[in-house]
Amino acid sequence: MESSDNKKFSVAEDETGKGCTFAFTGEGHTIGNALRYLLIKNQDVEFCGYSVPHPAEPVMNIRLQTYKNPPLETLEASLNQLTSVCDLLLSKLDSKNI
Amino acid sequence: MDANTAYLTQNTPENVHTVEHPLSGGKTLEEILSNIEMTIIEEKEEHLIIDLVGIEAPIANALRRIMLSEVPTMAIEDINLWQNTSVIPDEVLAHRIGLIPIDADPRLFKFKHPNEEHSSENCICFKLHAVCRRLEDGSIVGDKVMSGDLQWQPFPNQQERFGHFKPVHDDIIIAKLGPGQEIEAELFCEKGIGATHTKWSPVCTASYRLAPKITLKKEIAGENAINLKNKCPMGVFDVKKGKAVVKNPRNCTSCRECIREDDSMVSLAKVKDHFIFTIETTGALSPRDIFREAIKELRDKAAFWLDKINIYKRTPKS
Repeated sequence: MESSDNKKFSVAEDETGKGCTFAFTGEGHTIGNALRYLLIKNQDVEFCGYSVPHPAEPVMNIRLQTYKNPPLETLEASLNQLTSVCDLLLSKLDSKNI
Repeated sequence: MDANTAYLTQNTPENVHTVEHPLSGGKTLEEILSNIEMTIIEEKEEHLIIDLVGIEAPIANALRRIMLSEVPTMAIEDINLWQNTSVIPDEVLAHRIGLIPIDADPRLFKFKHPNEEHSSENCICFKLHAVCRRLEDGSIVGDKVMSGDLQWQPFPNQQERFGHFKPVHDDIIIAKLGPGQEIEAELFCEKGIGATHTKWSPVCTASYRLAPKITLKKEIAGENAINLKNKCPMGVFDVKKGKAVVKNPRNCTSCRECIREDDSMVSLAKVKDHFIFTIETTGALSPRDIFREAIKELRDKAAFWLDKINIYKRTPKS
């Protein structure tokens, strides 16, 4: 990542504690859609959507509502899943019988 | 209808919708992870065709986007133009020079911060000195300035550590000079990403398409088979022992000519979870390396935000 200094993470939490809007500064559709996709696979997720409010502003928002677990933990779990998906793809790419 | 197949009909694509949510019939992540397949179809020095089966579009698209704009390469960023008496304006010349692909492994270098000096860690320096002359016999030498004229100026230790750097191609014309004209410049390559400027993009193009699935709805023989074979401009069909067969389904460009007049013979479809990636490199990295770096970049992104979340959790809330 070129300019990691201007990447920021912020959270706007609902009063219920079951809904959050996460703002990723310096990210776009690349990780936005991939994360949304992994979150939607999670059975505990009630609602998940992402948006890039304006193409000229480097902010990507993820809205996440869960049934049980705190949304932040669910987000972390999905980021970990993304890591494991990548690890799996890497091992496939580097395996000999490709 | 198979949920994993999108059909092309005479008027419209059908069944194109994909279901992601497991409760609505989408696959669970475990199902997906245990069924991913990767096959290299064609690998050449400058391009790669690779099949990714079993993943879904958001992951495939993330990889494609990262290859285009977030895998780093080296490109000329700063230029000290000491002399330019050619007809090309300084800024146009500088821009042209910036676009020259440089054959250097970006993984050996660090990103240069704006307030950092050029050093052996973050920079490759080239010198360009081109003079055009008219010789006594009237012939003109040096009228073309080529990318091969760039002379590498190694920083201390660079030669021992990295070997040799040069542009990927020696035959790119940078400028044309008239007799007496001269260009003298110092060029500094930096590591960067395609999102900043396309000159840093490692690919000419990286794209994916869904694998075509072409089946014959009934037995086609005799004249019909020959007609079908001749209809397809891409040579998808062939005739064997008087019967039509699907020979090269991958050639299909979805032009739908084979179903335009009569759609009772051929079924044209796409497999929704079979992505055919085509990666063409500009030459700095091998296409396989670009793909590998893209996957790593996606993984690093996830790791980076996990880190940020950890920091957020440790910061006291007001």
